Amino acid sequence: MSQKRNVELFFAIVAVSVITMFLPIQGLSLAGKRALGVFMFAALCWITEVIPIAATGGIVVGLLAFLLPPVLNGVSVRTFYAAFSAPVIVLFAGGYFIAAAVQKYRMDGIFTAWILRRTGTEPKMVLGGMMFAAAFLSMWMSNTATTALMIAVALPVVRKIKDDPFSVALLLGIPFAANVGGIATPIGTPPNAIAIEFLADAGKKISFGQWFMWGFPITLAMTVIIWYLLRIFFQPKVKEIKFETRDIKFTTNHKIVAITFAVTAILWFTEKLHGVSTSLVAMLPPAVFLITGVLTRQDIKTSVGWDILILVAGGIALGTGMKVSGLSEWILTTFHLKALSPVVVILLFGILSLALSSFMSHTAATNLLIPLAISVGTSVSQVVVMTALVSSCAMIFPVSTPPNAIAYGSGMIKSSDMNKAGVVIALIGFILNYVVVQLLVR
Amino acid sequence: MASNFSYVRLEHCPKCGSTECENIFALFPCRPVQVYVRCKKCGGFVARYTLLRYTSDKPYESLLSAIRCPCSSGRQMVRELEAFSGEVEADFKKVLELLESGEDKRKIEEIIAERRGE
Repeated sequence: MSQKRNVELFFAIVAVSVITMFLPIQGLSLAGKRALGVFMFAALCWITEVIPIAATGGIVVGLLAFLLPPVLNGVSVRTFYAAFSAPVIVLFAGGYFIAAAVQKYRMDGIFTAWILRRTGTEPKMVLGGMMFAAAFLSMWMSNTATTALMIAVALPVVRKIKDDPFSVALLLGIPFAANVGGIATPIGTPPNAIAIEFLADAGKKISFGQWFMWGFPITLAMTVIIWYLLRIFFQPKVKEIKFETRDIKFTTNHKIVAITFAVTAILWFTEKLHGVSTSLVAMLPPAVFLITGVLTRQDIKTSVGWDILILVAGGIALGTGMKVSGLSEWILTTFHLKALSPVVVILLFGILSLALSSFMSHTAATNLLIPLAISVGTSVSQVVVMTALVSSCAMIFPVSTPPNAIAYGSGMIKSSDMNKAGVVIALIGFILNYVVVQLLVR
Repeated sequence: MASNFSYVRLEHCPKCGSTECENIFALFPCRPVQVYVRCKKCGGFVARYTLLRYTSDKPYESLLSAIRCPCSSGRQMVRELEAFSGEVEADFKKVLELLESGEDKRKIEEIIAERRGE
């Protein structure tokens, strides 16, 4: 889209949002109308990506802080600025510090090499090893960085066997495994954090371990299913695949990163035993890495996803705005969501999440859907968790997720290959998530 | 961006004036990657660069190694990938055109200092 078209579209969105605030909507207060206008602005900007999605997140916080306090008693700018210091933002930032250190010292590469040395040379085992490594790393690191690393490892081999259908399996298996790997932990992907924050605000605290108990079975099952499907879709002609792996010497800094990571993860999983919150534990990695010089100012600048933190904060502020303005309650009563059976609501939000996340950022999609899901009233946990989990299964198009885009950018896979595998995986993922949500989430 | 280039300068040896230089990559522990430039003719020190990003003739691979920060938008990633592959080629073409039309004769540090103010 040209810059002129972008500017025109942006002003059109602003105009629509402002008009929304002045519509004569029955039963909706002035504050509610303002919040609805901000919601419209956020939804249209996030769907069209007319401005960077993180910028929209920041603007949303600013707009709510500007528009709502004057018309609401007891609500101040602090109500919305608090989104930037929400526990999940701190938790996520801590996760980014771990990922930054792991990447800087190539510990992700060490782990991948370790896995590949054990998978042998049989194509299906190599694919399984690559996918397992991608899924495991993206439980702790960003899905994007994981995919970039793994594709860089796979590319020399993929080039050698580029006429073999199995090369497509290798290139698709990595992003798909990275996408589902993010499901397993609260820090795996932003929608998980958004869901946890909104549920905590609704009085339903989800621990790190509890989320893992829901997410990990899905990650594991999906990784195995995707591995199996890719082997069927793109059967190998080659008999063996060899990766060249290099040993990296373990230095003191490597040890500091490994120990800090292990201690942090253990403390996250054992929150119920010691009572120290996950967000407080998340401050350990930044403290250790900065004191010891493992990470420098430049590393923090380039490796921490500040824009994603702003985006998530925008979603949290939007939810707060909808709640305090009465917009959530209005949506609930106007659209008779309470009258719907919990199963219908869970499926409805799951479908919306899958559909939206297929062509827009899944973080932005959950930013829009979870504030609505939280106001449904019945089976809140199930609806919210389903919305978050399903968003990570949308991997039909190259634009569906950054990992998909990276794989597609190699120029060695066709969009139709991704569509074919992505549709089947999305459907299976949807059903699997629904089953897990129904069985485990209360 | 290609349009931002306004002048180019060939590396010259400060001692013998030769433009034949060798790039030596130096990777010391706990230090950023540095490139030492040696004159091919007289063997003297020409310059040292601190590397911010390395892009080879395979831009896709270069970009993969540079992706460290998380990204939340697939569309944004597609745009970046498309722009990056085209950008390197277009920039190189522009640089050669500029070199053909005449290089800037000032010292490289003078040109860099001027650029900082922009």
